[in-house]
Amino acid sequence: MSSTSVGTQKLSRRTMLRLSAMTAAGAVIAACAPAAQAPAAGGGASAPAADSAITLTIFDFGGDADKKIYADAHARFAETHANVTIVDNFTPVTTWSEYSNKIVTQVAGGQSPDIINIAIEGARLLQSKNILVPLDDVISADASSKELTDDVHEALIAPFNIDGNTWYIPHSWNNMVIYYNTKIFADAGLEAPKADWTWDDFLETAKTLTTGEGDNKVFGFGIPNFNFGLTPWLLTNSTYQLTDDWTQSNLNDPKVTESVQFVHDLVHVHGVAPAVEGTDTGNLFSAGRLAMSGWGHWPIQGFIANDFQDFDVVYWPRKTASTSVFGVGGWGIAKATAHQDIAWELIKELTSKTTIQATADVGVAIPARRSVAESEEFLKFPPNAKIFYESLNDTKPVASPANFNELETIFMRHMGEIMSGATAPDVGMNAAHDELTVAMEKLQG
Amino acid sequence: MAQRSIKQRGSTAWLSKESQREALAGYLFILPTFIGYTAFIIGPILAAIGFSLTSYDILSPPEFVGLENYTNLLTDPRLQKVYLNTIYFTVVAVSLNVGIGLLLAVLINRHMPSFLKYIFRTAYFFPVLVALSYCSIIWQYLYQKDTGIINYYLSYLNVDAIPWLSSPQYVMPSIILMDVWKNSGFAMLVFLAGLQNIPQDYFEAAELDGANRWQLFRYVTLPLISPTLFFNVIIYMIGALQVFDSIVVLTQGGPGDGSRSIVMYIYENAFQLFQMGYASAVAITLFIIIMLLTLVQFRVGQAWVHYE
Repeated sequence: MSSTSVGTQKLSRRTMLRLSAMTAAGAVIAACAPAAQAPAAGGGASAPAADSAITLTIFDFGGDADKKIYADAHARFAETHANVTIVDNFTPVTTWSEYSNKIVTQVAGGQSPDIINIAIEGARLLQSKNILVPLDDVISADASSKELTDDVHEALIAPFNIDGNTWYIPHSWNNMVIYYNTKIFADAGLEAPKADWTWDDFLETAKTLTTGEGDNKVFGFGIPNFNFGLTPWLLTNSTYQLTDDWTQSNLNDPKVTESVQFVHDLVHVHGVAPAVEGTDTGNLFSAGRLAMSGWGHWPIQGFIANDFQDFDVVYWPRKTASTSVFGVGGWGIAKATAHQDIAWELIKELTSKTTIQATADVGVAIPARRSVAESEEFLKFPPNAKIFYESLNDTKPVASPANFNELETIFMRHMGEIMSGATAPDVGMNAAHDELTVAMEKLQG
Repeated sequence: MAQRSIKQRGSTAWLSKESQREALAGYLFILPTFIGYTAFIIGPILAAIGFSLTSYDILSPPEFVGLENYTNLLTDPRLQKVYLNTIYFTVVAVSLNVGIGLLLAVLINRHMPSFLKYIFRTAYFFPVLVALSYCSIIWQYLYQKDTGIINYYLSYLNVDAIPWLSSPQYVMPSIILMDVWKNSGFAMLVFLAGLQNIPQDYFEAAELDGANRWQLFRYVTLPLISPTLFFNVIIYMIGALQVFDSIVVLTQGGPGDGSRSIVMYIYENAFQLFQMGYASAVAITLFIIIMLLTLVQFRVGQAWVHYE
């Protein structure tokens, strides 16, 4: 009842709160201590004993079909390497920025995979963050790798040579071509577009094929409203988002504004394309509501699965150039791996003719191997499928500096404003140029 | 009367042994929640405060830069636009959500066959249960300017195609419309519960005094559901200031920054541009703003909220 001795420990509410705040602060400070991530020393230079169990982790992307292809490849690999367990971590790709972010975050969190599957859009980012092992030594030490590099077009290997080293082995790739509805063309009495058709020919065709009202409205063209899909308009006008050495923004080039103006006018002046916001061009095309649109090889299986095969492909219309855009996917080996040699063996299996042929059969991407891309199975549909691999003769990779994330968000944000009519193309592209210049300077500095 | 020093006020030293055991049991019971709260809420907030004083790109260790992030955010034009969007969304969406929820609740609370009440309640609450991504995709098809269903029917009324998602002026109202359609059912449910707690005697007494329907609502119903109203306004306000999912699937923040919210901007800076320090600074300022607004609401609430 009277005041008791101070020595007796009773937990008051005030003390509780004080203690918990200190605990939380302490835990945060402990966790914040920079995780000194020393990558596995030596990069696994010595081959482990053949009977020790090894686990290889792959950070991978794709759909269910790809999972199966890789699972088959892993099974074939297990026949000769029984002691290796392969864990294939799949992530669906919404944008390449998000996929690269996931890898970077995982590595930062201490969970680096052994093998990484990445497309060009994230290739430089990973290489610049020192996550990868250069592959030149393993390639030159292995005589069988010559067979692979001979079978792959040099344009697909070049983007993976960064700062004088090779960092990835290409496995498949994609470009952008124009898809057109053969039935709509036939009904309108139009011939198939020629391979060297121009922007003017394209616009005339789109205007002719924009017909109907309400229920029957058909648009001439559905704009591929993503970074990769807008790049062909720049390349066929002999321009590009960056300078050729990928160090500076080129968005203030009047030819860039000209290309963007052309795309903008398709919606707002000529009315041949639906507004891009909320538009699903894939569904509209297979429903026969678009006479033309643009994609790489990836939607073909989806169209076939939806019973839609009245289409063919043709080169992008040209203004002053016939250059097409491409993006390529490749396998890299992480620096943190302890089994570099085994990882290389697995990569060879994953880029073998058998695996690449299986990829081509699924049809999401174009196989990197020429022998597979020129095979009958790959060329059987659509009728003009030969232009896919042929386009490599005059092609440029999608601009993918190490800060591709920033480039894509800046470009698409300003394109969004331009396509909504809120900003004029030259004003928008100049504003984008200013932002991108700051971003590129930050990258160099 | 025991003389208790200031040190001992609030301590359990003066309780009997049994009450001390009860107090200990009480602390033990809340320990799991408390640990979770400390680890998942307090901890990250303290971490964010720490990161906001650094430049941190996730892969390399954080670099201390003092208040540079905070001075940058004061002059960031994108941040101003993004705050305007969020405040616009909050004011309009909260008013509509709470207002429509109240209206629906009052309408459903009248005398009607109980199976009708059940149908109405279910119908209005159902959108709350549907996953937001499905809703957003369907609404995209509704809203699309040239091939969307809403503009298709509007064309029968000779109304020009409205650029729901294509124009910076219409994009926020479009998002608010979808948000209200989806979320007002929750407010309705909470209000229904509050309405059912009002004793019928008050209504009967007021009717005997000659009150009409509007007077009944204004002078009997409103004051008696003011705690529920207060709750709904606070909850919706805190949620609206942090809006993310409603916008990200529908427009990804476009066109341009026309529908970008603060949390989307934080996400972009942290996970797409690898500027965790700056993103943390923006997040901390948002935290402070929400805290201040909630305190203001509580203060103002003392004037108009009537607790029984």
